[in-house]
Amino acid sequence: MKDMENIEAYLEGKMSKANAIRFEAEMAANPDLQQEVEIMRAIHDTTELDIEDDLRKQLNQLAQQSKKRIRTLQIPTWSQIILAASFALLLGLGINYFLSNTQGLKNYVSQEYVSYDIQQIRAQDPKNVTPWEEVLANQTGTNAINTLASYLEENPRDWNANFALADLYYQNNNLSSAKLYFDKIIDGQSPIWLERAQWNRILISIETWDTRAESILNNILEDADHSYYQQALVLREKLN
Amino acid sequence: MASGSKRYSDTEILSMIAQDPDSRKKAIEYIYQLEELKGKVASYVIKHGGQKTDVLDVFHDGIVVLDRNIRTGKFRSESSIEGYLYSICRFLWNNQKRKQNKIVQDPSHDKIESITPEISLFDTEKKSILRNALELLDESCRLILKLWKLSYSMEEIAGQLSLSSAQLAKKYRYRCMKKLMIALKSRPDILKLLMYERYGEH
Repeated sequence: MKDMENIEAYLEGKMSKANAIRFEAEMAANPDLQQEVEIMRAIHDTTELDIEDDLRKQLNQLAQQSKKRIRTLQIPTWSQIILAASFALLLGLGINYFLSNTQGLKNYVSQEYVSYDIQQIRAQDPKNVTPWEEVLANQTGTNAINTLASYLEENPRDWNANFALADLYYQNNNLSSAKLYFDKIIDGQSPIWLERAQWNRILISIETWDTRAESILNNILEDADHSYYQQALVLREKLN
Repeated sequence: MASGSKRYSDTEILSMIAQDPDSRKKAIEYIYQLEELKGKVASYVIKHGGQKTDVLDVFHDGIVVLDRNIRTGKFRSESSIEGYLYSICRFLWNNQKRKQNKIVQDPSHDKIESITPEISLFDTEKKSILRNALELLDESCRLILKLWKLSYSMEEIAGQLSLSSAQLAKKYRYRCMKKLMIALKSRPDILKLLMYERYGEH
């Protein structure tokens, strides 16, 4: 991480003159470092292009709008979304409350399990809510599952949506499908959703422990930087 | 400026570009609707051998450069945003014509603007290579890197991605960069093209 910070500081011109000269001398003597600097430069350019694409999309829309007023897509009122989301939240809280009054393992799983954050969807500006998030805020159960599943057929690498669907399956007590979607995230190595998916995959396997869960738990225990390392230590103790 | 809409000062526009996506969009929309400026650009392009269809392309490219220069601190408020965007559009058009060898630069006209904007637009070839690199990243990583490049704070990025802390967002950002770095190293074909684009024949 330190190397990357140095390279970034150099590329963004945030290094002092003396440090920049030292860094350039180091680069001249170290082809690997030179290559990493070039790759980092490419990463900056790549991200910049992604931003440019978004901006051009907006500019093209503005150009279209100035030609003719396009009919804006009707979306449910925000109060409807909040109402539905509140209902889903209350339902979730109800499940948690029920489990916390039953014994041991289920109680532990429900406390440790990381849910998809529906509140985050509620907090977003409706204009920025994607179609599947809108479904999630409005529906629960099979309808939401079907919509998300068909969305994922078109966009299998949208890890955010994969996590949401796995969570929906879990909330609907379909553990095998929940495992399937958490596994997809794990196999896809999504850096953002990976650790939460790994942790949830273990938790929902507690009652029917399998070799995959065992191997994920061992992997977490080998990585002290893992966000769920401490929790994994506790879990290992419980399982023993 | 657009009739009936609120007028923003340059300071307000600069701050809106660096804020949340909605403010950013609003600022772009506001700039887009500077009708007087659009007219000036159109007049320049058409007077210098362009067609009506060229005007929109130049204006869009100009806004892309303006946005980037504001975000990267290259716009230093030495002129108004409007004047700066006009300079950019003129430079872009002159460059394009020069490449096509259709006109000789009119030096007297360039003296009117004292500000020389820094222009850097990706050409089609570079875009295609960069898009190949983008394909190596998943949506979440693209989002996190984009938000970071848009100068979002780590707290804001954590909020957007429902992460528990800024520290975690920082960790994920580095992880995403590392992932792209490893992916690029394993794709020497793309890497070679990126290097070639940078160094040309050297």
